[in-house]
Amino acid sequence: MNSRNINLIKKLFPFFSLFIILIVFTIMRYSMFWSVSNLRAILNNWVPLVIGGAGLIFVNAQGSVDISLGGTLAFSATIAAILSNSLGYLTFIPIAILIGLINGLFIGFVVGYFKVPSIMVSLAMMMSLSAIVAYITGGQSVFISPKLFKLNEISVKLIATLIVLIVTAILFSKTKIGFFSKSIGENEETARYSGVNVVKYKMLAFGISGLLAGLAGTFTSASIGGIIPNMGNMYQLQILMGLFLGGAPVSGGSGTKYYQLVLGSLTLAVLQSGLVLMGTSAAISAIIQGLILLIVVYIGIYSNNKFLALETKRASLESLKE
Amino acid sequence: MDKIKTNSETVFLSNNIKKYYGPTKANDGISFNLKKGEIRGLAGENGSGKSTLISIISGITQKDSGEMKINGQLYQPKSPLDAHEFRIGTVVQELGLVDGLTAGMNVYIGQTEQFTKFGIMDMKRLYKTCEELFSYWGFDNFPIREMTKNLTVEEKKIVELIRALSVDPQILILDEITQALSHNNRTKLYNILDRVTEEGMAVVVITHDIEEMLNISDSITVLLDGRVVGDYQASEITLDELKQKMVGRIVDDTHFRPMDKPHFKDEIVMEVRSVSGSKFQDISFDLHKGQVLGFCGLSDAGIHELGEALYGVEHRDSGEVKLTKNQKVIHTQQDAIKNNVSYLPKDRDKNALMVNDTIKNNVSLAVIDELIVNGFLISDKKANIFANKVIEDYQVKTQSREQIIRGLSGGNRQKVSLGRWLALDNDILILDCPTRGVDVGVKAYIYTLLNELKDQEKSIILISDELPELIGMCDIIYIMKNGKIVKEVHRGPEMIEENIIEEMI
Repeated sequence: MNSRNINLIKKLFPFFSLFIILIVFTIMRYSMFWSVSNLRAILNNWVPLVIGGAGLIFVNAQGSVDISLGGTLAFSATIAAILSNSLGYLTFIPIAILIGLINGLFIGFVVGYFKVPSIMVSLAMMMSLSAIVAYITGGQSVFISPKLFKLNEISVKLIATLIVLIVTAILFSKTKIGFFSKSIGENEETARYSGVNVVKYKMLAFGISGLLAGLAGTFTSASIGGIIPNMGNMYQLQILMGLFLGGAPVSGGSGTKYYQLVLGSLTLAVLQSGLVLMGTSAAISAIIQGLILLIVVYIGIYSNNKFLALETKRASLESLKE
Repeated sequence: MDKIKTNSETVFLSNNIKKYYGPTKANDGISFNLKKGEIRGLAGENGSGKSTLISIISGITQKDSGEMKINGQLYQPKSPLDAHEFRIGTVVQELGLVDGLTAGMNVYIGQTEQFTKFGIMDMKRLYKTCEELFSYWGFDNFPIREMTKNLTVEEKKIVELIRALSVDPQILILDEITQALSHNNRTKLYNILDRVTEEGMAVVVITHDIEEMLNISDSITVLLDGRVVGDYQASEITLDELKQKMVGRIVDDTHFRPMDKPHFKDEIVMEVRSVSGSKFQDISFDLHKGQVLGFCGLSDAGIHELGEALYGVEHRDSGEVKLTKNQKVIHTQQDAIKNNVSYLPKDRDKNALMVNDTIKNNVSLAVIDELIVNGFLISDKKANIFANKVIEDYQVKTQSREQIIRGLSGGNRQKVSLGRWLALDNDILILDCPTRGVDVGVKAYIYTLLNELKDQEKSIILISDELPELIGMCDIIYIMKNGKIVKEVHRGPEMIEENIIEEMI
């Protein structure tokens, strides 16, 4: 098999897995699966996944990870809820995304400037942010102004999501932020030697990621009607899973493409709602999701290694000819 | 020591050994035999394949093809343990000791069964045997109970030597051991070598000190670019002849400038004033328009670190790098790039290129600001044009700009790495070993490019480990030693290899 074919398999497999999932659910629960209410449920699942992923993809492309997003979501929503209750409901969204942004910039600074591995920094942040939320709320729910419930309307959600997707897609595929993020993921030293301000672009990536977690927090609050304890729990893992299901490389780099985010988060949203329709228990459902993730990631890594080995061989042959 | 052992039997035989690392032919068909009781020197420049050959023989790396025999028996080591079994003792160049264990433990690491009963190690007996072993080889009162991390480099080397000897080897391989040894310990080593060769052990010695190699070896094998140049009796070859063989290829100097005078414009483009960092101190010079300025020195001279500091990617403690035309001071690599200064790193695959990414993306990374349209969007069209330009202008052999770098030969990788900066048409170029790891053809091509750049009145700072190339290209060569400029040689009859080497050492 030549390297082009292997590359093709690597690219097509995530599409293939979504296709299989759709077929399986169609066969087993045709009418329920394609009903309006289920499509609405898929959309409701998908929105927070894709909004969070739209930021995390920059971090992931750099070969870093941000597992604090759940904490960031809960923290920014909590602060925004409390402050907007006295400052007016209109301040809710700006405060939430501002707090998210500051969190992200802080993580990015520590990761970039002090060269602490991102998993450690974001782990520490996740724990402290969740603890702060628990401390502030005292384990109680905080209500938000009913006027904010408008955010839970499907049309509002959809338009907001579309705007986020368009803006981040351009940022990721067409501007320096995206290009440098992928370069840093390919080889941080090369990026540095080529003139990339690595600290700045790490801060930007984590900043965008935090900002969008803050935005996702506003939608989550609107759908619940306020802030509840353990809100945002496992959120970051769901987003990560969405990215990887779409075929995004775990180690980042130029193999990270924007479509993988849309595809992967959709696959996950479909999978989750479909499993609910099948009456699968939460535990079994989690196991199935885990298995599918493992297969997709394995195929990605296996085909990539195969591809690189073939290219190395090609170089050996080229050199022999010279 | 010119005992000539012509009649003794062959202990080690290797035939057509090959080992390729991607495009690098580390060993390219090496045939190499050893006789009992012989001391064989292995000579060659850096990258000639000595260390690879040693690692293959001692089981650290596996060969791609070829055959090895020990005493007529097929020898295919999968790991250093197999080498142990065939009684091959090795002292490697990089220290192979465990810091957190004592010196004595390190000697017997991997062979502690002899001291073990019911899974418990008899440390007392280990140290006693160890002490005897050190005394046997002439190192009395060696601190064998000391933690290895507290030992000096010299003591560590001795531990490694004793460890290699402890397997009672039939072949002993010493890779750069004498450098670390003081005079009296060297004498001890020579005595040891006398003793073991008397008993029929074959010894392979690698050392940068060619003179020493000539003195202690019976015969010498010269390697160049992964191939054997020849085997020579130590008594029949002179130091100069040997050096000649090591540099090997008759340097094709048609691509070099004639040995005329320095010629460049009076106009200064870059002023470097009292620049100091961790590896270099108080460096000052002016770079002129149309000038090729060379830097040379031994490995600890600081030439590479200086290049990085001039570009801003390495930290400077003090001093100033200023561009004359706009009086801008370069602090970071971003400043350098913004002001049309390019830098080519020495380590191409680690610092210059994204090896798993396409030619197009690697080119784009360097020229990104040229690709921006509408204020912030990267134009794919422009990226394609630039990538094609680099591929065509600098003769990169590839089918497509989407080819990943990993699939290119060393020479073609270097053409991408250098070409993308040249495509920017910058006035100042800092090049660190631009011909490192490329074959002769691409080398000649790069020299032609540099001459063209000089004709276009670009200014080049050329940092290099290869003297012929500096002598062939530079108007002025600065010789550095221990981080300081010790001499400045201008183009002319003075600029010859002997003069420069004398100052470097």
